[in-house]
Amino acid sequence: MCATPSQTFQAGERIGRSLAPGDVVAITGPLGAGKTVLVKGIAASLSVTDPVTSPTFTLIAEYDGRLPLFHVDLYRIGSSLEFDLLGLDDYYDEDGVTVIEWSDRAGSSLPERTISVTIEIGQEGNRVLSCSHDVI
Amino acid sequence: MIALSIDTATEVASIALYLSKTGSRREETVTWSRDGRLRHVEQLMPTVSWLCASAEVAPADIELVVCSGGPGSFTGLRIGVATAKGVVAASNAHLIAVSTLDALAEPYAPFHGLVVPVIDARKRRYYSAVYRRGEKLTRDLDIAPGDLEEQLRQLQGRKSEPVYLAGPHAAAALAALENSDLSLHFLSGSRSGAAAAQLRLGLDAYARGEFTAEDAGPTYVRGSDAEMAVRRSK
Repeated sequence: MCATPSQTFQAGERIGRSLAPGDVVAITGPLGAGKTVLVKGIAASLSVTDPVTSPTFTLIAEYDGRLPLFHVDLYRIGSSLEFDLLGLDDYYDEDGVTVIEWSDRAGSSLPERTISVTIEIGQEGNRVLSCSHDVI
Repeated sequence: MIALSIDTATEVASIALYLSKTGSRREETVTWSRDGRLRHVEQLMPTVSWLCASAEVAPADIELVVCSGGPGSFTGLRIGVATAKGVVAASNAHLIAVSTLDALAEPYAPFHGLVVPVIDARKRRYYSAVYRRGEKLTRDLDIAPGDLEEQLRQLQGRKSEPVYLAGPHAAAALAALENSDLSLHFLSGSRSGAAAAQLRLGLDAYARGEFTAEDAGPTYVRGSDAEMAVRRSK
C-alpha cells in the first residue's frame, strides 16, 4: 500500500534491489497510477544516474547502472503480434533488467519467469501494489 | 568488384569483404566474426570501416552490399538491413538480401543427405528449412522440433538419409530431438558466422541481376499467435 508517489518510488527501490541480470518485470496499472514512478525507483536502486522518463514514443530506453536497465513502454503496441515483432526477446538475453510498462499489451508473449506488478488506485487515491513474486 | 556482406541475424555476427580485380583471376575474401551477444552489432560500422581500411578499400568503392534477409533475431535483422542500406546510400552499391537459412546451409551443399539449418525462434520453436545437395525442399519454416522431425521423416521417404543440423543453434535443436530415431549429425562449424556463404549467394544473385528493392525489409517468418494456436490444436 502506497499513500504517496515517494512511497511508490521506495517500493520500486525495494523491487530493484532484489533484481538479478536477465530479470523481467512487467507493470500494469491505469494511466497515472505511478508505473513510471515505480520504474524510477527501480532505476535508482540500480544506480542509474540519467533521468528516467516514459518511453511511450520510443518504446525502449536503455540506461547504464549497476545492471543495464531496459525500460519498455507498450502503450502504443496494438497486438501481441506487434509485440513479438518488436523483438524484446533479444533484450532478455542481455545481462540487464527489462522493465515493461503496459505489459498487458504483450498478451501471453512474456517469458515465464516474468515478475508481474499490478498497481491499482484505491478509493482514497492511495495505490495498491500487488506482485507475483516476493520482491517488495 | 568489391562486395560487402553483413550477417546480423543471430548472436553470431559476421562480416565478409570480397575483392576481385578486373582482368585478374585473383580473388580475396576477408572475414570477421564474433560469437557472443547480439549487442556486438553495436560495433558493426566501426568493424566494417576497419575491414575496409585493412583491405585498402574505400567504402565508396563498394559495388554490392549483401545482408541477412531473415529469418532470425528481429532486432539483428533490422540493424543489418538498416546498416546495409546506409552503406548502399553512401556508395551507390546494389543491395541483395539473402535468406539466412540459405546462407547457413550453403557450405554443406556437397553433403549427401539432408542439410537442416536451425535458428532459435523462441517459444520452443525453430526457424528452419530443409536442403538436399543444395536444393531447397521446403520454404522457410517457423516450426516446433516435433513437427520438424515429422517433416524430415516425410522428405526421407523409405530411405534413411543422414540429417545434418547446421546454424548457430544446431546443438540446442539436436538436444530437442534427442529421442528421435533419425540419423542426426551436428555440424561443428555452425557458429563461425554466415557472412562468407551469404556473400557467395549474393554474388550468384548479382550475376543473375536479382537485386533487392531499396524499400524491402527483412522476412520475419513468424505467424501470428492466433495461427500458432491453431497449429498447436491440430
